[in-house]
Parts: sequence; C-alpha cells; structure tokens
Amino acid sequence: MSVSEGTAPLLPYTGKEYLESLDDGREVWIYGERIKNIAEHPAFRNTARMIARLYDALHTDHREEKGLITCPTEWGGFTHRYFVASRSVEDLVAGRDAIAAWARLTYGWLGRSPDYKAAFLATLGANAGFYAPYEANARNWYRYSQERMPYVNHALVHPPVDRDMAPGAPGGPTDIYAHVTRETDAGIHVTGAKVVATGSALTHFTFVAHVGLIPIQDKNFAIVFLVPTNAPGVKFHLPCVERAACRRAWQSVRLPVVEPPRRERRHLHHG
Amino acid sequence: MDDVFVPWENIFVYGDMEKANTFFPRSGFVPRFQLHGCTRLAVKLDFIAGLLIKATETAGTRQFRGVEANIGEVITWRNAMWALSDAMAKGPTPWADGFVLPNAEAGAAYHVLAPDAYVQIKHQIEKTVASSLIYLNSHARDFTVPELRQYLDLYVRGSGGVSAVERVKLMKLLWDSIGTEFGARHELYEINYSGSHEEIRRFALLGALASGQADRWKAFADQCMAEYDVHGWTVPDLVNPDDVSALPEK
Repeated sequence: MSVSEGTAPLLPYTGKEYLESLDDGREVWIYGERIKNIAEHPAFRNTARMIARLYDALHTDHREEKGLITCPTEWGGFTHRYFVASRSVEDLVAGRDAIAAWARLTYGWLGRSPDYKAAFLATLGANAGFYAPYEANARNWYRYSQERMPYVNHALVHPPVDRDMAPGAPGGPTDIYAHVTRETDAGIHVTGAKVVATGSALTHFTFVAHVGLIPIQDKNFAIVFLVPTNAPGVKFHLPCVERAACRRAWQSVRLPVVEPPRRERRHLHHG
Repeated sequence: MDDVFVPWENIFVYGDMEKANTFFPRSGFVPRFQLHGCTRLAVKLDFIAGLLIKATETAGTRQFRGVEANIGEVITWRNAMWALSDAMAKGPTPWADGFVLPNAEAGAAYHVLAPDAYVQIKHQIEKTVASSLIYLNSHARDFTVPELRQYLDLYVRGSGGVSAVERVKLMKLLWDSIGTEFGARHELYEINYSGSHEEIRRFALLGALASGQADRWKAFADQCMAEYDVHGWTVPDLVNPDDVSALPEK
C-alpha cells in the first residue's frame, strides 16, 4: 500500500475504477476453472456491479453535498463516515446512518459491503498503540483505508479440520492452518488455509487474524496482517454449487426481476 | 495461501500469542461490527416486511386476524433491530483517548437475538404466505406464450387489481429471499453471521464479567439475601410471620 504524498488528495474508488481494479490477475477458481476477469464472470459480474453502485453513491453524495454517507477526511478528501474513528454520539449516529443509506442500495442483502471492515479499520485511528511494535502500520492503514476506501474483507477462522487441536500444538494441523513458514528482512512468508472469507474474491485486500475456541500456542500462528487479493500465492477456492448463487450467499443480489437470474444459471450449466 | 509474502508494512501482530489470541475482543472491532451488522439487518428486515405485507395484500389475506398477528411479529423483530442499532449508537462506551465504542450491552443483545429473529421471520412468512409461495408458474417465459398467458392472467392474478405478472414477480422475489438455494444460503449466513450460536451467547457473559456488571448483579442479589437470615427478617420494617406460622420461631 502507499499513502498519497502529493497535492491532490487521495479519493475513494469510483464504481468504474472499482470494476477495472478487479482485473488484476487474482487467482479465483470456480467450476474447475481459473477466472480471467471476475468483473465479467457470470457468477460475479452483477455483485461486482452492485458494489460499484456503492462506490458511485459516495461520489454522488459528496458532489451533491448531501453529507449523508460521506464526510471530509483530515487529509483533504472525503470518505464514508464509518471509516472515521468515532469520538461522540453524533459521530456514531452519523456513521450508522451512512451504513443504513449504503445498505439500502443492496436492499440489506450485502453483509460484506466495504463499510463492514470499516468496523475494524477505523479502530486503527483510536487504538494504534495496541499493535506495537507495528503501530505505524496501523496508523498508515487507518489513513489509506479512509482516503481510498479499498474493499477489505477478513479471513479469521481456521478450516473445520482438527478443531479439537490447538493451532501449532504437537501433532496438530500444522499443515492446514495459515502460519508463518519463514521470515526475511522484508517480511514473512505464510502458507495455509482460512475459511469463510465471505466476499473476498471481489475485494482488494483480505485481513487475516485469528478467532477460535482454542488459543494459539505457537508463535508462527500468531499473525495478524493484510494481504492484497492478487498477491502471488493467494488462492480463492469457491466451494460453489451449480447455480449463480455462489459461496458468498449474497452473490446474486438479483432483485427486481424474475428472469435474468435464470438465464445466468443456464449459462453456467452449459458453460 | 501458498508461500504468500507479506511485507512488514502490512503486519499488525507477529509472534505475540497474547495479542493474537485477544485481538478480537481488544481491537474494538466487536461492538463496531455489531453496529454495522445490526443496521444492515434492520434494513434487510424493512425490505422483507414490505414484501410480506405486499404478499398478503396480493393474496387477499392481510386483514385476517392470524395473518395480522404474524405480520406484527415480523415487524416486532424489525423494530427491535432498529431499536438496538439506536441504542448502540446513542449510548456509547468511552474508549481510548477520547474515542467511543458503540454500546456493548445492546450489541451483545443484537448478536444473540438476530439469528433467532431471522429464523422466526422465515417461519412466519412460510406459515402466513403459505400457498402463494407455491401457486407460481415455472418461468417468466411462460408469459410470452399466448396460449399460457390467457390462463395465467386470469387464474394467477392478484387481489385488488394486481396483475399476474406483478404477483409472480413479487412471490418469486419473496421465495428467493427465504426459500430458494439463495434464500436458504442466506438463512445459514444470518444464523452464523458472526460466530457460532454458543460463542455469541458466551460473549454476553464474558462481556458482563469484564465490564463489572456481573459483580454488580451479584451484589444486587446479595443485597436481597442480607435482608433475612435463619431467624427471619434482619431489616426493621418487615414483619416476621410468627403470629400466623405453624412453625413459630423458637
């Protein structure tokens, strides 16, 4: 990631920029094939367009000075209100109203809209110290996520395999759960799986951390990081069914009409 | 992930097991995702409530007493989600350096009630809309066939001037919301939205233990227990039942 240092403030994606950004070489597999451009794939294209609507709504809200969804950033741009760390009841109510206004654009069916992860990213503006010695990273990500509003989702849970063993415990599932394999001067290398990364195939970044019944007992599993969706080695496998409604249940937000979804399904059957 | 390189600049925790294990409760993420999740669900319930009312009006059943009661229950869940969203936003908890977090108790209440609400709402719709979710043609293409269209227009029309096309659009959308593969997947999603049914309940307890509420509730119970002992009331204003008891104080 990079933080804008120029004179022009960094602004959130437009819908068009968002759709174009998805054609970035990301590795997403479905029906035995690797998807070339997810924004044009029959199983994803309309969800991608619904997310593009969200980004466009930010720019409309800002241009028309409605201030319902957006507010200024402290660096000269504008952002969705929930991406700013809250200091008061007024901040929280305005953030909540922005969440509701965005949710109405998908009729409440898109659980993992980009503002979902603002629930975490905005905490970095208030709580960066918790991440010491990486608190500078927390502050940089607070600014970048607020200014550019990349679509970030998370992968927290280990796969439902050997759930009765501690991650990293002797004889445990060291070959399955995400963990550090080596460290270099530049960073770390991670191998292993996470599950239920809802929506991640259409994101810019996935946030990886740990939530589980059994605490981590090996420091190689004690990792919290962000990774670009198209980073080499990041692979999304969609355990899909035969229809357009994919592993991300909200995928076919196919609202007002009866017909088009069925057509898409037929294409998938035949394609 | 297969040997994915993560540069230092994208790392928040590395090698600190205590932080990795406590990140979820200590990051501030939980009450904030509860506010987001509750608000998003409340919007979805606005939508589903609208579909449900339209469906019963289309069937001509809206004013039946039982149907009205069932719709009222769905609206109650909808109202509860908006009220909890309000409570989270308007009753925040002070946090680090002048920042605030959404109200944790309202968040915990949303967390546990939402999955049960969603399952109840789906059930109410299936009981209330019932055969209207079944009395449907197979495909929109049917309407393009004149031989079929005349029958669909006559027999599948809605009540109160609603056309067959409008009726089918509505009922297919409602069935897609609750019953198709898409709808069923959404129910699974909402049931497990942010953790297992056990974890979300444990959060309520752990939250009360951490906030001091559990101690305050125990002290409240102790206050009552201090008002009596084996000899009867220990407080001056209440009267022991020696005069009417078959077992008077010895």
